[in-house]
Amino acid sequence: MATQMGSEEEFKSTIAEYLESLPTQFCRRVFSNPAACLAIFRLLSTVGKQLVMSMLYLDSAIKLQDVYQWAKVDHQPLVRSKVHQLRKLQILTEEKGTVSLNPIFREQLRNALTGGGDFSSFGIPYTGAVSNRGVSKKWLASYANDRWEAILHFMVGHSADAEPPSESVRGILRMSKLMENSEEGMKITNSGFQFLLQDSSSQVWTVLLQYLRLAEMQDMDVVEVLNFMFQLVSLQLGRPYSTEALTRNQRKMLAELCSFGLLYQDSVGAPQFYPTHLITSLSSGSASHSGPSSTDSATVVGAGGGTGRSAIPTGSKATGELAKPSDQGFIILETNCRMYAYTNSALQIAILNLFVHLVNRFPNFITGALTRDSVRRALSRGITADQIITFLTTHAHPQMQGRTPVLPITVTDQIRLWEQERNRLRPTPAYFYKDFGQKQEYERMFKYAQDIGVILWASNEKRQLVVTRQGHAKIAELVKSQRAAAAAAAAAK
Amino acid sequence: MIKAVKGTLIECDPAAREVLLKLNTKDQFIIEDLDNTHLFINSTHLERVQRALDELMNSNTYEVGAPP
Repeated sequence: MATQMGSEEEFKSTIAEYLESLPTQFCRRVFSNPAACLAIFRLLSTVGKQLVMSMLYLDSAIKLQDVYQWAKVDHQPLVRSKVHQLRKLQILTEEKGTVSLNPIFREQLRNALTGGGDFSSFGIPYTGAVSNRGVSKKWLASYANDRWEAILHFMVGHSADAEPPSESVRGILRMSKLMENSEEGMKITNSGFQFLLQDSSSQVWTVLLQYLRLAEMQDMDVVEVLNFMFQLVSLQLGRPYSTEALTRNQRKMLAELCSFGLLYQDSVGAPQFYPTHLITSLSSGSASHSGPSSTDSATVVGAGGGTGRSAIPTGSKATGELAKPSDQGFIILETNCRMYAYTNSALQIAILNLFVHLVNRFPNFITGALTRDSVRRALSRGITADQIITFLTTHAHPQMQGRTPVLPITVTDQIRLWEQERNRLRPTPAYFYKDFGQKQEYERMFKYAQDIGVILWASNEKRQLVVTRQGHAKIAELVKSQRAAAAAAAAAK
Repeated sequence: MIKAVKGTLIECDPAAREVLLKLNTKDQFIIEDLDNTHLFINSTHLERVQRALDELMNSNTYEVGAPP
């Protein structure tokens, strides 16, 4: 589970990185939207949330030193790094040793929590007559899963009978380098294989980030797209929302996200749309792991503005993975590397086929084994051992889930060993220094390189030094300036 | 006079180093043999050397029993 959390963090940090990269002017506009503030707040780590919460109702700036004092001495480095992160996100502003929340962010987050201000940013519920076709949560879930699986299926390349996804979907897959063009249609890439093994919330993030990049390239207003995105993740599952207040770009985006199964519309241009669990569960990714807390926060928000998203119907297990809610865990792995999977989904089988040597297939059951060759084949496609292990762990049969660790240690160790075996050489681009004239000269350079932390390898006896490429540039400068100084000194004499 | 050489530092286990030394007898790619676990090599040969090592190691591995 730890590794899975790790990968999620990574993806969160990419949306965070995206926000960091935005210029101040853009950030202000993003923050002026309560839904965006709340969504960003949800994406913060627990400590980050605490910091923001503690400062939310402080109207004056507070000394940075005092903020550090909130934590015990041994946890202060953590607080420091979080404060730094918040500053990079422009949520915190620092001035002469005091910090305060970004005033726009503060005001809008207050609005979001207490229900003041302009609430249209949370999406306007559709109040008109709903067509008689029942759109229940359950139906939405199966619709979203079908759409999403169809895309994944297309990626694995077993979609001969199914129709290929729309051009915009294929465009995004191509642009994100998950697939590439080849002679016989589109082909999956190495990063595509890695993408397949991720849980679906990470996958959705990848797609959304890609969409942002696409919007940038098409000269669409990024803030508009971003705000809409944050609005979508705070919508309530199973409720219709009005498309009336949306801008042209947002309508376009709506249509494209529909083709991914993130949203549902009865027909193109219909006055209402429904969010599906794929998108509403995004901002609560970490909360759903800790169980009830996500429900609490959702109800508080719901009471405040009547627009909060209801808790995800079934925990992270059912919504967070490729599997349909009905078949969560289906893999049994034995200590002798043999694998049994209770599934009839062609997609699951195709994914397993990436790293398992499949032997028999029955109507609802396949058998196979993890062999050195099958795992190496996966590794050579850029899939890491950790990804394989995470996939097997999250999809383990309920009977295996009860054990700690879930997978037999012998097998996980073996997979890691196979990976290590491939990476016996650890190469680093570098510069090698030799033939130092005098001992002092070597020592001076050694000390300088040590100070700037660029030494990869050094030998005092041989007077040899290996430094990184970046280090070389700095050292070359030093040597140059020293030589110039020496020449100047000689000339002065 | 100090000499600076551009290349790639390789960190490896002693066994892999021996293999690399053996490969080096065919065509010289090692610039400096630093110590038991470090070699400094010509960057252009890196990929080829990695492949050669992988192949050699692969030919020295034996599956116990056929897969089921």
